[in-house]
Amino acid sequence: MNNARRYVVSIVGLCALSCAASRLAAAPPVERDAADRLEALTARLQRLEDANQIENVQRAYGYFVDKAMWHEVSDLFADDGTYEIGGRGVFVGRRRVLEYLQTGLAPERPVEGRLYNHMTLQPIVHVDADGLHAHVRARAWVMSSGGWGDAMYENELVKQGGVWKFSTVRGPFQMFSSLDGWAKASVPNTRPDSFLPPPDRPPSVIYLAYPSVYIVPFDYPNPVTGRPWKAD
Amino acid sequence: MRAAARLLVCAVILFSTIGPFRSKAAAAAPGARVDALVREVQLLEDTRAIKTLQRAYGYYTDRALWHEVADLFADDATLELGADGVYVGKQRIQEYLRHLGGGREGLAYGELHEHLQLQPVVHVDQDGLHAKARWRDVGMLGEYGKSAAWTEGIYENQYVKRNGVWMIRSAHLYVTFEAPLQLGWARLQSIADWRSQAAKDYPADRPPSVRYGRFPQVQVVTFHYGNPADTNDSRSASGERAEGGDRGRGDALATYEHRVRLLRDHDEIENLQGIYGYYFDKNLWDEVAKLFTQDATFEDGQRGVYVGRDHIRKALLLFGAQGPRQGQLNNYLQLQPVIDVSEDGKSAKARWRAVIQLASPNADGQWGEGTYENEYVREGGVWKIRKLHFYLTALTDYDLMWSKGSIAVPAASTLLPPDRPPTEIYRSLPGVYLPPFHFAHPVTGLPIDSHPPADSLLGRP
Repeated sequence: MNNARRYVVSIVGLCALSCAASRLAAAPPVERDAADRLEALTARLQRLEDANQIENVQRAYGYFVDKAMWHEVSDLFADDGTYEIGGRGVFVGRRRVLEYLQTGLAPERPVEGRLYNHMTLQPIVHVDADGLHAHVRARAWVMSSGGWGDAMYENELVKQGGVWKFSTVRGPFQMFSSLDGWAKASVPNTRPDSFLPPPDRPPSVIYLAYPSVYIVPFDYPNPVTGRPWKAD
Repeated sequence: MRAAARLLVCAVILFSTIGPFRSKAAAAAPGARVDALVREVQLLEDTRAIKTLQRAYGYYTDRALWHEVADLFADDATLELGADGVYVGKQRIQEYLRHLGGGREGLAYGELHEHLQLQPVVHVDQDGLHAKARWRDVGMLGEYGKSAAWTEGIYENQYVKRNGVWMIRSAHLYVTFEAPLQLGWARLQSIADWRSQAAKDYPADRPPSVRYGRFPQVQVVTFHYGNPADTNDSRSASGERAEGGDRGRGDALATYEHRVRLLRDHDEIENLQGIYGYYFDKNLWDEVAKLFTQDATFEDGQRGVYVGRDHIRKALLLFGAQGPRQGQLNNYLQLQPVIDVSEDGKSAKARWRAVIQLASPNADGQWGEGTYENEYVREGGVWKIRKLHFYLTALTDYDLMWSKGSIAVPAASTLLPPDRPPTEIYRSLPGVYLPPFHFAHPVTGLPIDSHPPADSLLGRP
């Protein structure tokens, strides 16, 4: 945008120098039409750039979780961002997010012999009309020393100071099994008391993962019919 | 914004009448250039809409929401899932899906039906009303206490835009394998009839459109696109970019054109790396090699650095002979891109990851996973790979798995030595390594510390 602003400034100067004020008023219809269309394009272009940036935040999250880079993960959150994984309840604020990750999951940085892949895939991004809020649905295919898993993220982001950050991260489990496979054993869910530290708020929804069935609500309508999804 | 937009257009008018800008700007009137911009932005939106559509298809399929799945199809659409045959029309598609799902909407207790939609290669037609895309489908299926299975397949789909909305015109899945988790893909045998029970109970409208060959048979799914290195895409000709660069100095509309170009570069690179993976799967080394620049480098694990397209072409033989073979699986799923195009639009960097699924005749299967940090440049108007660097995180025997059976990262070949030793020394699982990030932290903007952990053997701090 700096470039754009610089151009605008130089244009204003140029307009004055070449006594273009009269020209501006008398711009032929075709150019006036072009200006309208360009203006309409500005928001669309911004939305495309935003969507790419949001995917990058979501995918960077996956790369950071892979390697227990908990500082980097917590830095993806807004100051008052919330974090809720499985059935552990809601952690509020960047500091609590970090505490949950470091105390509850693992020490900072990867350790020998431990695989913790959190492959973050299949993003669907929707940016609100205000251009400052967005939703992303994405899944994590978990490939770890402990087993296989699939988590379904429904996250919200906020744009602050031109940067997209997580305001809400919710990652309900769809399935978590040992390496022997999901037919043999599957973790139905974690609970607020499964391990320390305790959450700031109870879980926002009570559900059981596989072998039970929980449909993580869709933040977007059906892309073809436009009808919002409703649980039966 | 309205005033700013007006000023930009006025500036174009001004520049077209003064000094050195006359000739360039006169070549394309602002109205025509805005027309071109609108088309380009529409193309970007269409590409994104198609990705959203297919990803939504996956999320609904996960939970057996057949009504929602069927609503993603055009009224006259077709669905062909492997050998089951072709189902025509939205109603028939929905009914077939219900049969596949045991005659009901939604999952029953104990059912797992995850279908990950991955690795898109999307091409929107010039008319802006039709599109094609190739996707990778990974399935995690099961019935609690009874069965668990991995599946993998390729979709070659067509999409159509009607009344301003993109919908699926045809979905066509070529199943590579459907393997019980306890058995794995490497021990699969060919069987005569791959049809599902649903297809037998509720037969298709048309027989299968092609002859399928699931693993261990050879199956190369026809690509809806040519090799981009062979493609002469007039829209991305280098001449256009050079002109854009000149205009950038004096013309405000060029700022818009530049932003649009960067977005398109991003999408082209996503396609390029996906295309690379689909060729790699099938050992199509001639096609893979073309995706590299003449002076490119290729580095896989600890094999060292191969320099130049010709040497890379030879080095690819380290991954098997040219072409697909019976009983051979060489899946390298290309996932999770973080793509950054340079501000001048001439080069790009991207981090990706690959999930690896291997099999060779009379050998156990293998799982693997790793990270790419790649670089790309524009050559003759087409994006190519200038540097490919794959860091193997883990490789394991299918039965032993990560906890028991790590396979060491492959070292340099004595048969075909590399040009240079590895640029970084590390070990795969059980060792740990953090491949450096080309990108800064997306929120703090600070560089990411990827200092390697202490390693007693190598004696690094």
